[in-house]
Amino acid sequence: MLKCVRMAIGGTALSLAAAANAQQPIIYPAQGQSPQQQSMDEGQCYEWAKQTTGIDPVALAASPPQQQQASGGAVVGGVAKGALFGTAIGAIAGDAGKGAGIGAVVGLMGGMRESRMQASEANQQAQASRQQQLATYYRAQSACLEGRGYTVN
Amino acid sequence: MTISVRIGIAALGLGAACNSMAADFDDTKLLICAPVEAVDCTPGKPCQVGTPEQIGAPPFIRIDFGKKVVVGTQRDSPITSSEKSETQLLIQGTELGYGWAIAIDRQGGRMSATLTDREGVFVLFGECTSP
Repeated sequence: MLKCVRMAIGGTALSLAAAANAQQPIIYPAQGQSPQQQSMDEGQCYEWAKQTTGIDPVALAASPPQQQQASGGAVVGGVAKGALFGTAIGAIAGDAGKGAGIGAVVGLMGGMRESRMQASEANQQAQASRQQQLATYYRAQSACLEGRGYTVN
Repeated sequence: MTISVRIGIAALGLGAACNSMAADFDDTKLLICAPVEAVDCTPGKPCQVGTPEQIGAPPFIRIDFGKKVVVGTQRDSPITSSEKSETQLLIQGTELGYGWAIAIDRQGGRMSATLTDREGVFVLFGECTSP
């Protein structure tokens, strides 16, 4: 019973992980292992790799990184952006002492562009971190499966 | 403000401008320009197109030719250069580290504007009217 549960968990987990990341390794039963045996090994290696690395690809798949958004006040509210940018552009213009200001022609465009760029950078960093975690997990999973006679690529 | 409202305002402004004999926009009147479409271009990335609100553009640009200034809610931006031809009014200035240029079609009041700094270019399209 426990084996069946493990197999089911492993299969589901790996399917979800595969959906989350196209870099999932391809596993070949080099020693003629049966599909049932392979499922069981994959399930056990999933558990082992998860415990070893502390990374759960299923959890990663279930919680994609939140997209940072600069427009619409999702992350950086309009008021905050305005105040922040006002201070910044005041400094650029050399009159920071006058406080926040909105350009007659420029408006808040510079500050909002900066917010968008920061949000984009944060998204890229989050994505890179996620990819790194998955790569670490897959290294552990590969080690486990290779130890059981599978070819992993 | 949604883009449809902006377009509506701009269309009203354009309509008013067309109805009045002053279809000819000249540099003697106060003009109010409403950006309708905004584009943000930076090197190496596709330009982002949005509403002026999304990009952070001012909802209205008030041009006072008499005082040679673009009037804002919190600050004014002097017009440092202007040129009038038969077809358009062209004004330029600098503000907050940006160089800006605004071209206004003298017949219909269409506006094109650019704002440039070292990081990229903002482009605004809109309509102007004389209040």
